[in-house]
Formats: sequence, C-alpha cells, structure tokens
Amino acid sequence: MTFFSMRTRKKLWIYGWTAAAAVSAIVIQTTLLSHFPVKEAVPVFCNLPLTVAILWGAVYGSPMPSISPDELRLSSATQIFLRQAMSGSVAGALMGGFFAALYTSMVGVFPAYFVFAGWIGGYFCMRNTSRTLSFLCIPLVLVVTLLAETLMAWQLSLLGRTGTFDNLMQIALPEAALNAILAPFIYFPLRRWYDTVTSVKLVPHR
Amino acid sequence: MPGPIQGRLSPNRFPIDSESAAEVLFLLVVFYLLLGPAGGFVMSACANVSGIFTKGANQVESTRNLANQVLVASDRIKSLEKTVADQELELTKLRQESKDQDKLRALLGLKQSLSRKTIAADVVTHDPDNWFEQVTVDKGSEDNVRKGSAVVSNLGVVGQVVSVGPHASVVRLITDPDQKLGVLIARTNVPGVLAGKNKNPPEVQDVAVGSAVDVGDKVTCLGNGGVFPQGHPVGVVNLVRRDTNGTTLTIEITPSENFFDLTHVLVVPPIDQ
Repeated sequence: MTFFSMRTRKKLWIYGWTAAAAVSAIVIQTTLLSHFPVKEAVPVFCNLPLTVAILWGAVYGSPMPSISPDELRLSSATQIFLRQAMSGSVAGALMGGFFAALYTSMVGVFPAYFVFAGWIGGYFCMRNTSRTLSFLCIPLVLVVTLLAETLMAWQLSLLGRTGTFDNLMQIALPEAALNAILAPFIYFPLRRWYDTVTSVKLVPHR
Repeated sequence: MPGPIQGRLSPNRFPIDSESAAEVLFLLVVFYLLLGPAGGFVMSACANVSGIFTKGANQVESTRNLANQVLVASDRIKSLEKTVADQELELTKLRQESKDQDKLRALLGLKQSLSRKTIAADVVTHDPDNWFEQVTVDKGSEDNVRKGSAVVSNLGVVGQVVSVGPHASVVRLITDPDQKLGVLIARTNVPGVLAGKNKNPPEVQDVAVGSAVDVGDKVTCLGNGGVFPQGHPVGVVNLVRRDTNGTTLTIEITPSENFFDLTHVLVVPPIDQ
C-alpha cells in the first residue's frame, strides 16, 4: 500500500536530501570552519552556506529561455521587468531563505543577502547556457559574495550598527576569495547529483 | 612366486602379503612426514587468524580503555577548570575587597557579593559569518540562564547573554561593536567603557589626556552594574594613542581570552536588585 504517488515520493526524497545538505552546511560552518579563521591581517573565515546558496541557484538556473532582440522590441516595460525579476533562480532564493532563517536563530537579524545571493546565482544560469563554462562558478561566487556582503553592510548600517563599512572593507575580499576556492568542490558534486536525480525514470511498483 | 616372508607365515593368519604391508608402512611413513608439516601449517594458520582477532580485540579493548581515560580526564579537566575559574573569581573578589573594602560594602553589600552563583557551560557553536561576534552555549533557561547574564572564563570576561532558549543561549562577545563593558585600568583606577571593533581589538575610547595609562597595564571589569563580576580580568593595554581632537585618548586592549578557542565558560546571572 502506498500513500504517495511516485512523483510525490521523488519530490519528497529530493527535498529531504536538500534539507539535509543545508543543515550539514550550517553544522560544518558553525562547528568547524568558524573555529579556524584565516589570519592575514584580520581573522576571516569562509562562508560555506553562502557558497552553497549561490551555487544552488547556478545549478538549477532559470528555466526561462534567453531573451531575443525582437522580444525587446515587442515586450512592454512590465513584461521586461517581470522577465528580469523571474530570471533569477527561485530555487536559489528559497535555499538562501532557508539558510537565512537558520541564521536568524543565531545572529538575531534576518540576513537578506542570502536570498539575494541565491536568486542572483541562478541569473547566470550556467547550466542552461554552456557546460564548457563550468569553471565560471569561481568568479561567480567571488562576485556574488562581494555583492552579498555589501548588501549585508547596508542592512546592518540601516539597523544602526556601527563600523559596518569598516568591517566590510576588511572581510569582503578575503571571504570572497575563500568562498571562490570552495566553489568547485561544491559545484561539481552538486551538478552531478542534480543530473543523477533528473535522469531517474519513474517506474511504478507492480 | 611367493616371497620369503609369505613363505614363513601362514597366509590364513596374515591375509596381507609382504608387498601390501610394505606399502602400508610406506604410506604411514609418508602420512607421518606430511601430517607433521601440514599440522604445523594448520596450527600456524589458526594461530595467525586467531592472532588477528585477538589483536583486534586487544586493540578495541585498549582503545576503549583509552577513550574511557580521555573521558574521565576530560570530566576532571572540566571540573578543575570550573574550580579554577571559581577560585579566580573569588581571588579577584577578595583582592578588590581588600583594596576598597568600604566602597564595596557601600555599593553592593557583603551579602549580595557572596550570593552570586555560576553555571558551567560548553561553547557548542561559533557565529557562522564575519559580521557578528557571538557564540552559542549549551545552557538555557531550564538551567537558570537569564538574558543579560555575564559570561566569563578563568582567563577573563567573555561576553553577555543576549538570547536565551530552553537548552541553549547566544552570547555576544566583548569584541562585538554592540557590546559595551565598563572597565578599569587596574594600576591607576582609570575608568572607561570598552567597545568591540569586530575583527580588530576592542577599544576604550574618550579617556582624558593625562590619564596614567601604559602599554601592558591590566584592564579589569568595573562591575558596578551588578552584571559583570567586579575586578575580573578583561585584557591588557596593547596601544595608547591620542585622538585627533587632542583632548582624549583611545586605548586598544588585547583580550585575555582567545575567542576562537573557547570551550568552557561560566555564566554569571546578574544580581537581583
């Protein structure tokens, strides 16, 4: 006797592994990586959950087709705006939101940059553009980390925290570099896993 | 043609002929010669296999013993650290009492100062990003931890509890910019307010020019608010520089505690008013 259809079970399996991967990333970060900062001028450590959020969007990418010149001529401003808004990865934004929610219990602030980073990761949509550009994951993580940390500095500054931009100057580049080093070790297994999952054919039990 | 042995013995009493007897004897000798080394081989093989299992069992047993010893030692270290931290608290308290006994009696009262309890806690996680200087400890409201409690170690002041759950609490370290702490330069009794600077060492700002402060001076907790323990070490003066306005000093402090290596801390609930 089965309670769920094959499609539902496959989705539950994927969501279960996704949640497990996200929680594992948080646990690795808080119990291991945050204890071993890289000390050049100031102690800075990499941000594994942020890297995962960016690459999650990059793996799934946007399902929308690339924009054509005719479309620009024929579309209205609203349509163009909606296309731009939906061109990021919803899956990446959801993953970032999940990380941000977990962070909120520890840092007391909802770090909105996670959602932004996950969404913009899918904007580049490397999976759908070209597989030969896989190593773009390194500069992608570098740039998106810099953008995300800048957004966090603005958010904290608006909340009245002092010294945020000084801190940004000190941590942004080393953290982005560390995250970029991590990127290939996360991107390729993630994409391999995604390929495996999407290639599984649904065969009902007899 | 009968052989010589068969000729002397009766064939009815010994049905085996001489050639058969020789063959049997030969086979017995061969069996004896073969079984000797084969038995040794089997025995050595059994010994080897048994040895593997025995050695494995011994390894497991010794590992288990070692693990037990480590656990026992860890518990002992934990209890000793708590004892040392408690004694350090007591020592600093006594030093302060002997230094300024009348003032202490007037401000806090002897009964209050003796009534403070500590809760031993383990640091389970460090803050996951580079923006907040916080750690999480494994004690919460069910262990009588309250929001605002001071957190110290045997080396110095660690921070303050800012969020409490049933079984865990978030501690904001003194290096966080939102954390302020009243401190005293122990040698000259110059007071000030310590403020965190994220990844940089915390600073005491707006100290009047002319105050007697030197590099290497010990900085202790002021503790007048009834939250942080009075006289508990905070750090050492690392740098003294004059501000651009020319009238104030900024004092950079090196904290006594290494916040990336925190394992055991003491939570000190505030004194009830």
